[in-house]
Amino acid sequence: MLHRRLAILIACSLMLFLGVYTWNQRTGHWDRLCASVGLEFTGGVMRGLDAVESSVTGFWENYVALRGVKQRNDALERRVQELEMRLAASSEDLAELARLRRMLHLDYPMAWPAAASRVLARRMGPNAALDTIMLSSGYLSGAAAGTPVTSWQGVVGRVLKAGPGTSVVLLLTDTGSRVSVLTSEGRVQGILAGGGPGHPLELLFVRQNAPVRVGELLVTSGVDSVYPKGIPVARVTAVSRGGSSRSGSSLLEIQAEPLADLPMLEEVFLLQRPAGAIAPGSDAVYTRRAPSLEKGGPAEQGGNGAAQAPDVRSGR
Amino acid sequence: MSWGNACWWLIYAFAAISMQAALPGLDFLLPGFILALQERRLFQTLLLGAAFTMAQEGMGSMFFGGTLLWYAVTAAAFYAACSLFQGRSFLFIFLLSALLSGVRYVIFGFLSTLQDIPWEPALLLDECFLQALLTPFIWAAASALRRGVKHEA
Repeated sequence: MLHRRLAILIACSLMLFLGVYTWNQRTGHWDRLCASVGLEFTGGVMRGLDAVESSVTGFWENYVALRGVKQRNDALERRVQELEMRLAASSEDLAELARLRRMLHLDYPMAWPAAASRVLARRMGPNAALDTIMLSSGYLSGAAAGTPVTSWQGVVGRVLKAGPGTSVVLLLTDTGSRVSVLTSEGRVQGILAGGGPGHPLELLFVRQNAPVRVGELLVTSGVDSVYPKGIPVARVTAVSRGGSSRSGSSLLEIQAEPLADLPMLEEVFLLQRPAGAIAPGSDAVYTRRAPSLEKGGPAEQGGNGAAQAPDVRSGR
Repeated sequence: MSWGNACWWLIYAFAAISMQAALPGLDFLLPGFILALQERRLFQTLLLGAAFTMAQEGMGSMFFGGTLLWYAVTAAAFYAACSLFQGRSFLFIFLLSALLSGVRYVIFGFLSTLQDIPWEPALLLDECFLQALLTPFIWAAASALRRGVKHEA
């Protein structure tokens, strides 16, 4: 009798759990609640730790590690002079570019304002299956789900979920990350997919005869409307022929490494979409699996890559 | 729950989350939950269970449910094992911790597959092994620090 009751209790509990789990997957209510309460609490703890760490390292940097500051200052001044000379030389080119665009009536994408944010932690807890970082900004300070995140070196990823003052960013290297890119010299389009932590990125859907060389930069293409055009993302590290899609067409196998030093990130920028800019078709951040060429590659999908991939998880 | 007791749990949560930031993938709130189960105060256990689940789910990147299921299994396994063994010995916690780590491997492996997230069995196994190894020691340390507060409460 007792065993029977126990079995019924376990079965009912499991049914209840599966009900709640399925309901949450459809609505995301529990996830939003956990992001507002649990993520905020964790963010508060990490901010406290960060403040303690900053005061200790600040003391070290301000009072102890002053040796060599004069030499460093001289070197930096020389570097500033050099950069000022370069800036002066390129300002004439920029003015000419603006003039030519006006002549051709060419609308150029508006600049996306950037808001700085501090990295509080890497992936934390047993529930952190994805390759993520935690930021000190939430949706109240411009870190809504789907917001692009960059560092001074290049693209970092996109905000996966956000509480009021803390957010979690899906990194470029995660297997669920997709970015629409083009090569800086050959202007070849493709979708840059994460290979997992410690593994190279993969550039997908590039035809066999495309002019791609090792060392070339990959920049955002802007066609997905997720990132502004022209932000450096990665550098090509290997190109090999012999790949093929499921439909049998020949493709290049291209590997790349992120430009941003992801394990050492301390501060990042959250890019804010300017008013009037085209919004992406979907706010999906996590792509479950590589889009199949049989259903249409990037060109057939309107070039939207991540935004129009078939199986996607909405940014929460 | 007295103020001293609430402060103790707050400090414990602060320390546990700090340790989680240092060792990714591990759950340092679990030993605290086991400690709460041992004290057999229903309100405190429910409150801490809800708060710890919320924190873990909030800082994680999977859909809600994994930590809830794991903590529910923890409570069920604890009460079931307490009817057979002495529930406060180090050996008991060590065996419970090993069992829970095995359960964690199954739950999170299953949920990752269900959510179509590619997961590395070797990495999850390492994390579970570390979890099984560290949980009894964190529990022992927290238990020793808790004695003073418990007597006051």
